[in-house]
Amino acid sequence: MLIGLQIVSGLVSAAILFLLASGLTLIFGVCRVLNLAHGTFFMLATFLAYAGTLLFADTSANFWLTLVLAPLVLAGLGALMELALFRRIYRADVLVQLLPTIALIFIFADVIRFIWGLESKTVPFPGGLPGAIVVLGVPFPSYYAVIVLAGALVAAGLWVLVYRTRWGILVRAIAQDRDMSAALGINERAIYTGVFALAGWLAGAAGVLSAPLAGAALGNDVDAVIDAFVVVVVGGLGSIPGALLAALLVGMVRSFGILVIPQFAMAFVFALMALVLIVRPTGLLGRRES
Amino acid sequence: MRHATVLMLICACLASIPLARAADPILIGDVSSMSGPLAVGGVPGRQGTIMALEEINQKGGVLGRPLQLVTRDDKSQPEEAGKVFRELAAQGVLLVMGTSGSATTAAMNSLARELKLPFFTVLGYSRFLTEEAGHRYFFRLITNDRVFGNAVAEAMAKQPQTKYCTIANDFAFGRDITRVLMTRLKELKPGAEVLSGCEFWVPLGTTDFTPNLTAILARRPQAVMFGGLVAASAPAFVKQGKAFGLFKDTVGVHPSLGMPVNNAGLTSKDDVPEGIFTGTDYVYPPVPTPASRAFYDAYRKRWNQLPTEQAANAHTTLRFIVKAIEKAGKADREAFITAAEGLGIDHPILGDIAVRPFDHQSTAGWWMGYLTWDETHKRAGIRDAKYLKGDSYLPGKEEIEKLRSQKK
Repeated sequence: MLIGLQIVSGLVSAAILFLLASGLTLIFGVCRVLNLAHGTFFMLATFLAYAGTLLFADTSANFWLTLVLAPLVLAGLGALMELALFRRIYRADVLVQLLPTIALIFIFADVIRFIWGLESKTVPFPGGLPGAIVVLGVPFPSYYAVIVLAGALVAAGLWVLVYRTRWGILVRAIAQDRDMSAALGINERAIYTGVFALAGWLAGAAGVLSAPLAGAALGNDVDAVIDAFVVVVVGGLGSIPGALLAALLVGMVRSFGILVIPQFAMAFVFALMALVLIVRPTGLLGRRES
Repeated sequence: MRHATVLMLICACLASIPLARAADPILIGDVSSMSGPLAVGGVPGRQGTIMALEEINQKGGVLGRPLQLVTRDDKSQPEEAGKVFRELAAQGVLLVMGTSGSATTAAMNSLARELKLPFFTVLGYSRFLTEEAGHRYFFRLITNDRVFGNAVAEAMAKQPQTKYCTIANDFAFGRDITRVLMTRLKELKPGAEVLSGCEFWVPLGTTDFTPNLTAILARRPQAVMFGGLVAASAPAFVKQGKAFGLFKDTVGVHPSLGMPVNNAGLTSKDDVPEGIFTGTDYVYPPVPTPASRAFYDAYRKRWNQLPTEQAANAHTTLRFIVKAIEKAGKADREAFITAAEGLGIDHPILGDIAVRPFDHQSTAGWWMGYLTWDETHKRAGIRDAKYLKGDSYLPGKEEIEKLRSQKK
């Protein structure tokens, strides 16, 4: 029974990890930039979830409305960041690429602190959901099913987008060989902006979906980007299927790790990362740089 | 002509010197966490200090001299706290107070001894600071975690629950409070135990407790001690635990979740389960005594915000400092310390408290009750609140001496 329960809770953690990591890996795969401010987008979304549920408090659909709107705001912000900042640093040195993303972490943290203050917030569970779902004798709040479902839907949606649409073909072409794609006349600038918008949307969806569970708190930005980074490294930088596999793996390791040695659950996750890096330096489904 | 002006100016300056000296302000340093994670406590603390300062200066200051604050931000970092503490020492402040947490306070604690500069912490609750690490130049008007850990353990020992699970953030305070409380509980109630494999340590900042909750629920404990969860972790655990129905049959125990700074993250009525056993040093809804009402009204009027424990504690600390300076009769550090030892002060929420002469820890106690929703203030509060004095939970003079000598 305990094992079954830990599998279910591991799935819940994995769903949020995947939503969070998929945007980070997408940006890296296509634009070759490690956007450390990805966790900041996530944190901003949790605060937007708090603000949105209050703003639309007079309708019972307030949370769902926020879930539609907030990721769009983040998508816009992602596109804006690409146009204003990232587009200027694609060809720059890795350190030069990282510094502005670190600057964004500090700037947004202060903006959020200025708007919403220092105290952490909770976001109510969305209305209109059935009561608990009993799994192996433990009543799981039905909202957890929403999260797992959302994770699965986004994974499927991303797969269709990347492997079954024209836009996806272009994205993969650029990811594979930037110069050749440019030579063939692909408008890479528009693709880059689109990728940042999509990554912003993904971070936004992850933030809003996690808000009713975890609330909104300053400091979540760095925790989130570390989590996402671990998943992306384990799965292979730039690989979306890799991020899915790694999110499941990390979720399960965390969930079962606490049964073995509770205080080392996080250490298990990093041990997994180290092991993967030793055995497969490019990550589980990563490919070697050409 | 120019010579005449200069001469006149010099004369004017010379003439004004005795006057300026009489009105020379007494400098009090204030190192608070105005940014970083502890700013939730540091900001209201500084506001409480400023409010007390204004009240004191309005009444003519102390020893006929106005009081002046020299303020610094420790950015919630021990190294920064040490740096600004030295700066204040160089500026010649009489003493330093600070709404600063246990780690930053520890850094200033050792510097206070080195520089012979008295320091009052307003946010460092770790018992270690006045016990093993205590010395002549360190003071604390607030209570400490030994007091509230033991008080809650004794109350729980009278309850029927014996099967416990524990969960805490993995850092000094989280480990300390869990150990203090569970050790005392097992002493008083030999049947009490932590279920095997049900002791969880999570990193600071954890907000996803799903795997921990399923593991806890599967073991069916009678009580869950989560007093070591702080900052965003505590409200996230409460909320997710409530969603899982954890607090229906299991008693939640968190000695300090009643503190406004700890439960501020619970922003909606639906998030607050009834019946978590907890405590605080600032009670919502406010204690109905005249002193408590007066402080509440004055603070709301001055800052247009709801008061917190840091505001009340910092306010009381500065009033205590002034009382001790008056008793000493001069602005001198050693005379101040002698005057402060054993001196009492009225705290707006905790009543009469006094600084114990042998360890400089005050006798401040702890309000205990059950977590609930305070509809008037739209925030979490506690019901059936009862006050327990700190004295009986603090170690005596001999034990303090033993603890301090062990350290050396």
